[in-house]
Amino acid sequence: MTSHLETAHDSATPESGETPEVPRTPWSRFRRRFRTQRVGLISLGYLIFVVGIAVLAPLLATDSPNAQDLRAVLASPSGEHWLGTDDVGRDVFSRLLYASRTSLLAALLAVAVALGLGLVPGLVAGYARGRIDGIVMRIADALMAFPPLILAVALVGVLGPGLTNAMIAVGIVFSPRFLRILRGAAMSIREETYIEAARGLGCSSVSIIGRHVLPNVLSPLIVQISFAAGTAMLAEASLSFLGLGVQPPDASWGAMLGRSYRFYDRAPWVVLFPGIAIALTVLAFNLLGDALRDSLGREER
Amino acid sequence: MTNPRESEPFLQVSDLSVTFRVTGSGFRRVPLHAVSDVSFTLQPGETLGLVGESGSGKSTTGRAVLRLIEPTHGSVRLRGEELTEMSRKELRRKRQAMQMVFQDPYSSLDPSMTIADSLAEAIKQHEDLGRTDVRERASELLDEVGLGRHHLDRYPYEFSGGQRQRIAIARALAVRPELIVCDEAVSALDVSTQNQIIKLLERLQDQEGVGYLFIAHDLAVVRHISDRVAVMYLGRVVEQGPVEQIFERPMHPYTNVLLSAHPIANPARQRGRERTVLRGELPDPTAPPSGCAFRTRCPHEFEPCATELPDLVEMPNGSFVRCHLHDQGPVLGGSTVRVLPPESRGDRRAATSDETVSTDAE
Repeated sequence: MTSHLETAHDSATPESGETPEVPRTPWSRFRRRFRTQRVGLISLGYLIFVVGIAVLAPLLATDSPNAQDLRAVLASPSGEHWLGTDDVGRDVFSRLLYASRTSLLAALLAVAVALGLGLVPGLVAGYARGRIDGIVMRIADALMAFPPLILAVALVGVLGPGLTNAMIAVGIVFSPRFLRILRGAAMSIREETYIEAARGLGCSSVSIIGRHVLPNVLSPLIVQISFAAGTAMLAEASLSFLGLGVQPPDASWGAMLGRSYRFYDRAPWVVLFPGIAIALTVLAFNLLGDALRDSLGREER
Repeated sequence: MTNPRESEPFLQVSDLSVTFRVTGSGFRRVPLHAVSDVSFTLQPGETLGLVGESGSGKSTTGRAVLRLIEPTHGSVRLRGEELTEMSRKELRRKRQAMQMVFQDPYSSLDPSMTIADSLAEAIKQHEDLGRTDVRERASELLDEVGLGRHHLDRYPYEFSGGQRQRIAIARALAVRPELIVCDEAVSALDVSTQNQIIKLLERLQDQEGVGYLFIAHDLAVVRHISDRVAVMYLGRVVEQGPVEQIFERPMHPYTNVLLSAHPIANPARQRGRERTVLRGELPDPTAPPSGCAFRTRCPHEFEPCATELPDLVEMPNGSFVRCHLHDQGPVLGGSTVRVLPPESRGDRRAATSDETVSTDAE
């Protein structure tokens, strides 16, 4: 990490463009540019930190996340309960650590579902245009016409409450966004000469989409994934707040908020810390998305 | 190369037409005849130059021959096989025989693929080789176009325009084609690079016997590389013939103007010569003039031009011309008048007396 930061400092000085080794692959070019993005690096570091916490939660937790200490209900932060306790006397710090698992997993699942539903139709619609495009886009438009949260609530109503179903619903709600971005990117790429050249070589449409279109839509796609991960985490918080997501006694940051907001005047820490965790993580995903967008842009000439 | 009927043209294009539907004024869909009844043939190892100003349908013709754009009607026969009636699958297999080199070397290579991958994709279309053999063949191809094998693992953005065009040519060669359509293949390059690429194309033609359909607007380049030339105006071939005939004895007024627009690299001669300047703009292709499309800009317009479309008529020198001057125009001394070449007008007039009439064009 330190070496990265040092290099970032070096390349921030002017006229460092003539580095002796020329970047060979898009990956090394990306790294070189990403290193100069301080905010992006901090966000990435923070997210790695959160993932680390999620993985190591059992080791780091000072208490069992579901253990109740009814003698210390809504206790303020202290040496025993670092971030205080909630309304049934559970240790907020330990719950926060365990909840990071649920929240991250939820974001991952929602993005995976959204990508799974949006990727192929988006690329095919953008590349093929015509009637296929019309049909796919009308379906996407119909999905986008619903207010996102209302649609997610309705889908959970159909699928039944629970974290998995909630995140599948969020994924379905997000899928048109992926679809539209991929379609737009595929539409501009299909006009490129190298696509015509590939057709001229006798490549089939499937192999053109897989080999030429997909790799070239990767950068907008990665950016969209990082933004969507942040939004999915918020959506999980909203649904859990409404009681449609993770079911008690399991915790997610959103569920912790939803349960404890009634006590915020007596014990602000029960609201404050999960709120800060959500806000910071969503912010980090968004800032990382920005930094990725700036570093992934194709270098012209 | 072992064609029993050597004289048979290996590429025969007849009455090729491409019509686009475009949105005209008032959002009506109007037809745009980008290419109308274009016919030509090409022999193995021969180069046909296709010239004309922007919007004349040169590139569309090239693409329609390869069916990268679907022709509206007409026929394209490659070694006797009708391309326009092939199914997509048959056509995909047939594409090995014909390749295209594009104008813009910056967008004709996939920026996210290494050169090795780009070439491998082409090689695998043609032959089923193992990984190391594909790589071997790829470096052979690079070698053939004058690039070293150390370029294999680089990305397109690391190359100059000329190098990229070499790579594009290498990729076209990967499938061992008989026909390469060069669509403004050297136009985007600077002059010294142009020269190298043209030499490369000529050398490959000598080695492999490839036929080129060479689309360009640079007349000097076309004159240098072509065996025969077709001049296009508003989607139609207005004159077609051997390269020296076209450049030395242009028959069609448009060819004449086109040549006259091209400067001579000799200030004294350039100042001394008379130039025919084209008046007006290229007409709206969705509403072309009646009769001969060139008549609105032609210095010689006369009676039948507005009503009748002239036919392509064969001239004694072997050219084909689509102009009423040559089928209904004045006849002098038993032959039709022709438009004098823009250069060396004076000395030629003395040599052939039957050309004197056309001086009143000025």
